[in-house]
Amino acid sequence: MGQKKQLPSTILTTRDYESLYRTLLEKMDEGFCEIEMIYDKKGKPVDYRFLAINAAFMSQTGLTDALTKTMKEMVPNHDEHWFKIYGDVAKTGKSIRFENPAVAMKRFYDVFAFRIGENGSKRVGILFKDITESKQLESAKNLFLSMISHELRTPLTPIRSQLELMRDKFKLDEKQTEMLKIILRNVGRLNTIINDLLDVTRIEAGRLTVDKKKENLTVLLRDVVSFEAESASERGISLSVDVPKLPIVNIDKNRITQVIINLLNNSIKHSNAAKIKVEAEKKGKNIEIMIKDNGKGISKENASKLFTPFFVSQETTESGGAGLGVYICKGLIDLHGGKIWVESVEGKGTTFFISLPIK
Amino acid sequence: MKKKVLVTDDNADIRETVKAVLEFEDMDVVMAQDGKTALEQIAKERPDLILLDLKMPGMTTNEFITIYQKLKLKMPIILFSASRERETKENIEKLETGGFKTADYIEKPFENEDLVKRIKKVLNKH
Repeated sequence: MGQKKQLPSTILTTRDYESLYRTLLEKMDEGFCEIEMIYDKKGKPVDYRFLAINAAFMSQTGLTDALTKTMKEMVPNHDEHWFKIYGDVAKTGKSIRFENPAVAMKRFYDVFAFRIGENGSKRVGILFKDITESKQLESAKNLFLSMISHELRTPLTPIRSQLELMRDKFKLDEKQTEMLKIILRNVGRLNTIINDLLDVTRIEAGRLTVDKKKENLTVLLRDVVSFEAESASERGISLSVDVPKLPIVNIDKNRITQVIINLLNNSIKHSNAAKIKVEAEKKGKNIEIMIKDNGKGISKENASKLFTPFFVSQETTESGGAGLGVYICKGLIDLHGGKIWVESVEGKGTTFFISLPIK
Repeated sequence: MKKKVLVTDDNADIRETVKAVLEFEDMDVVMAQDGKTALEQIAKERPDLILLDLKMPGMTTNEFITIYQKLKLKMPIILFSASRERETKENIEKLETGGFKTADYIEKPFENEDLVKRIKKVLNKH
């Protein structure tokens, strides 16, 4: 009694906090700076001044003596988009994480920016990391994938065509016909993998585009299902479609067809389902498409990895596939401003959902 | 009269393959491995249609089309491409800026049936 109660060691005093933050700023290898926005007469953000920088600032930017100077004094031709982004952060108070090139500095940055102070404050805090090297590696990887895919298509051309000639123009016995059928099916598979690789490189380079037009989704879904009916029935799967008359949607017909075929093929080949059903309905301003199967389902762990590139579950390894299909589907649905997700119960089945905006 | 098709591709196996496919359809086929040879073959053989690889060594497709236009050649050109559809379309758009129009394009690898169908369709129109 009467003794001053000691604070538990986990609770920090104001002084401890100061020391912690100082150490954090000094020791961390990410760059940090506090800037103050500079606007022109019309209120457009045109430059900013460095109010504070940390120890890693110099190694991350290559800029020395930045303190109290403005960005344009340091790098006169710094890309305009940086001023706009930080201007928006100061104006709205909305924090933002992004990756952007700094062309004049020949670097690429991963950045987190947030406003310091209340409404009307011109100050922005910036945490950043130079990711130039990983960006260069990524682009080298994409270039390599794209090159190798092109190179693979060239020898595949005479292989496919000559085999088709043998099949169509020569008299073959039953065994030979069967052998050719298997070879050609696998040539087709190889071609799909190569096409997927090319699509992936375009998604990753941000170069995949969609060509949207007004289309009838009801007809599209029914056509795709009838196209896939044979391959389903070959495996004893009942494939059905139940789609009402839907409003006309603005989509890239080829690309949405590619997505539905891909998801259906996955169900047909990997789910062990007896029934697969394609449904669709209007939900508010969107159309929701569902591809339901009553197969073996996907574990929670696998479901969360499904939309990443090159993901192949242990079970699907045996039935083939490079693990790119669903990743590409997501890329294509994203480009339509839509959403794609999966719900699955092990032992009961899986449903893939696609939501596409009508306008 | 038999129709004559000029197949231009730097890959000999692809040229021979297309030749075999088209000869089964009772067409005459002449071949060229690059743009320069293609122009020589056009002068000598007067083909009814040109199948032209989008990416050729030496003379580019763009340079080839410029000369084709200067010579006021009229036979249709179908482009042959190992790129994906979107990229092929972008390349064709660039080629067509000078008022030139391609008759069609075919992606490699192709299905024989599709190749023949497209070539016949273009030949029937011209």
